[in-house]
Amino acid sequence: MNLKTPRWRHAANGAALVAILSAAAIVLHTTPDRDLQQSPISVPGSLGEPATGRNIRATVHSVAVTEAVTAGTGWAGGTPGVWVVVNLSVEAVETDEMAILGTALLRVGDTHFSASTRPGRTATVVGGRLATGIPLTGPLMFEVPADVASSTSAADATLEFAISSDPRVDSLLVVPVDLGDLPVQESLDVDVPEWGAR
Amino acid sequence: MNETVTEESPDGARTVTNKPVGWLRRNIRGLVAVVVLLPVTLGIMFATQWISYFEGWPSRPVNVRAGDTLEYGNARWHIEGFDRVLGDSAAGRERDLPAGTDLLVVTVLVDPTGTGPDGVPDLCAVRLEESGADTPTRRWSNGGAISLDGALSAHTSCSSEVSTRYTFDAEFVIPTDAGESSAFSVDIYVEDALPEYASFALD
Amino acid sequence: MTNRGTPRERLSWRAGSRRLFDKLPTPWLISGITAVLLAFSAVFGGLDDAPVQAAPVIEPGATHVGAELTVTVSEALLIDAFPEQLLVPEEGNRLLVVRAVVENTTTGPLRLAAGAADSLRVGRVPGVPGATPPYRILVIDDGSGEVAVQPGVPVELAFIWEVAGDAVAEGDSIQVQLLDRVKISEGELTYGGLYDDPVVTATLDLPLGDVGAGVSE
Repeated sequence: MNLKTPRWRHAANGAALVAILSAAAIVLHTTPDRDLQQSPISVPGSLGEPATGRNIRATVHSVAVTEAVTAGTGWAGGTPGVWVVVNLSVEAVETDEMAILGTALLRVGDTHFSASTRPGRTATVVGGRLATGIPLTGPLMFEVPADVASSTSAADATLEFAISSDPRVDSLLVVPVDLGDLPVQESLDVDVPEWGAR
Repeated sequence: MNETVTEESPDGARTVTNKPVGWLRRNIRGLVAVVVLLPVTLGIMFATQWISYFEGWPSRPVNVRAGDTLEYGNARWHIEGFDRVLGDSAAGRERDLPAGTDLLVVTVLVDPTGTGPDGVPDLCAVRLEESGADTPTRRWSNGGAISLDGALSAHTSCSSEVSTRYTFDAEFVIPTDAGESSAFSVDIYVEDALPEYASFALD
Repeated sequence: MTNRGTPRERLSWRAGSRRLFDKLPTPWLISGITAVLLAFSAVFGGLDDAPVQAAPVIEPGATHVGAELTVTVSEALLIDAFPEQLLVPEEGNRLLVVRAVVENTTTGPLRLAAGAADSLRVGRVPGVPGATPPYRILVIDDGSGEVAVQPGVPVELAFIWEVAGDAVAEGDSIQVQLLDRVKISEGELTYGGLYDDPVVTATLDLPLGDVGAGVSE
């Protein structure tokens, strides 16, 4: 018996090693990173149409850009930028336990803005509790710099809504809105949020 | 490892050879152990997590019909009656019901038979559940997002101050289309008696 | 020289020292050389404390660009109370207010929580220890709390501390410190970044004003 390992065995070992290393390299580079593992589940929507995620359904009725806004409670806030005012209906779908509008964002390019809490709790729908099957219709106000509305990424701006303020691994309703297309109004009056089907 | 095999050839000569034992036979004990232990380990790991999850959630209903009295937690419960106030009726307009909604008022009779660990009668959570064959299950909590003025009853939920029989009116603001092709049930649960909860079918 | 039978010859100086080195354990040798080098560096100040860079002192009204916020502190004043915002201090106390215009230079909104002292602090105020967070932070324009500074939109804020009525008076000089948060990493299990202790990146000295019961703007 020849005890020396035949040459072809060495070559086969080498080939197997290269194959395993390549497989490992592929796995390493294609493994989803933490952002991808914990990404929210996007539900695309469109203006005027309801978008339904897990236990949340929202419909964006209108979007306006204005320099001054007056809420139904009488609040009028000044800003060096402009206000983007969104009229929104939002409801819970299955249960009203722990259902609130926790995330309401306007994303323009890589910058995102949160719905302003300056008007007060009763003037906008941000952070409001949701009822099952009964929509809450009211305004959301975003304070944005004046040049955002005319920037190049304003045409691809999106509104994002979710139940929790931590939008990971849960439904995120994404509604595209063209900010560049909207004229900048001088002032706008909005109503107080209201319950009930429109 | 080898085993001894005795072969007999046709002309009567016997040959004893050492046959190498297959890999499977050598490792059969280990394989059986893996096949048994792996699912058992996984099962135990998941079971301990899921059991503690379900224990803290109302997950085991005790189903009764509306007319029955149920002993649950530290009290006896009985649904006295329920009333649906339509949104477009006079009574509905008086309570300022939002557009497209009705009000369902469920009167619950509570007879505390004991107290909780803190020495006072238990507080409870009440919710309304709508379930049907082709409708998704929906739930409304007592004391939910919409609060109405003008409730007539003194109590809208369990009270920890009253130790004799009393009734409370649980009010639920529901969409007008709720209950069209589905049945309602009222779920009542007490923190200490979880995961069991009382489920009264309203018909 | 292992032969013990022969009488021991007198070793030369070189051979003897070589033998000593052979007997010396190597770790001892290395530590010894290190100690000698350290002692040598002490001559040149190698063992002194590292100098801490003091935060730069800026003028009131000057804009300070921080890692996340660009802050312009305008004035500090004392006021009795903000009754409209239900901000009434205890009997005998007054409110110390620092007005600053804050602009967010990151790509997302920043919540300035009143309970955290990670953007602005006051120093040299008797009765207010160094790292006390503001009692409240309000937007001056409409008096709202729950401040979330949106990126690119400057907002004038009032940082409010409660002080004893006789601790400071008009004309006293207080120190205002501007801080930066240091981001360590993105949270692994939690949402949002993980931040280290805030560091002071600028200080300014402000004379206190006093508006008594308040002015209406």
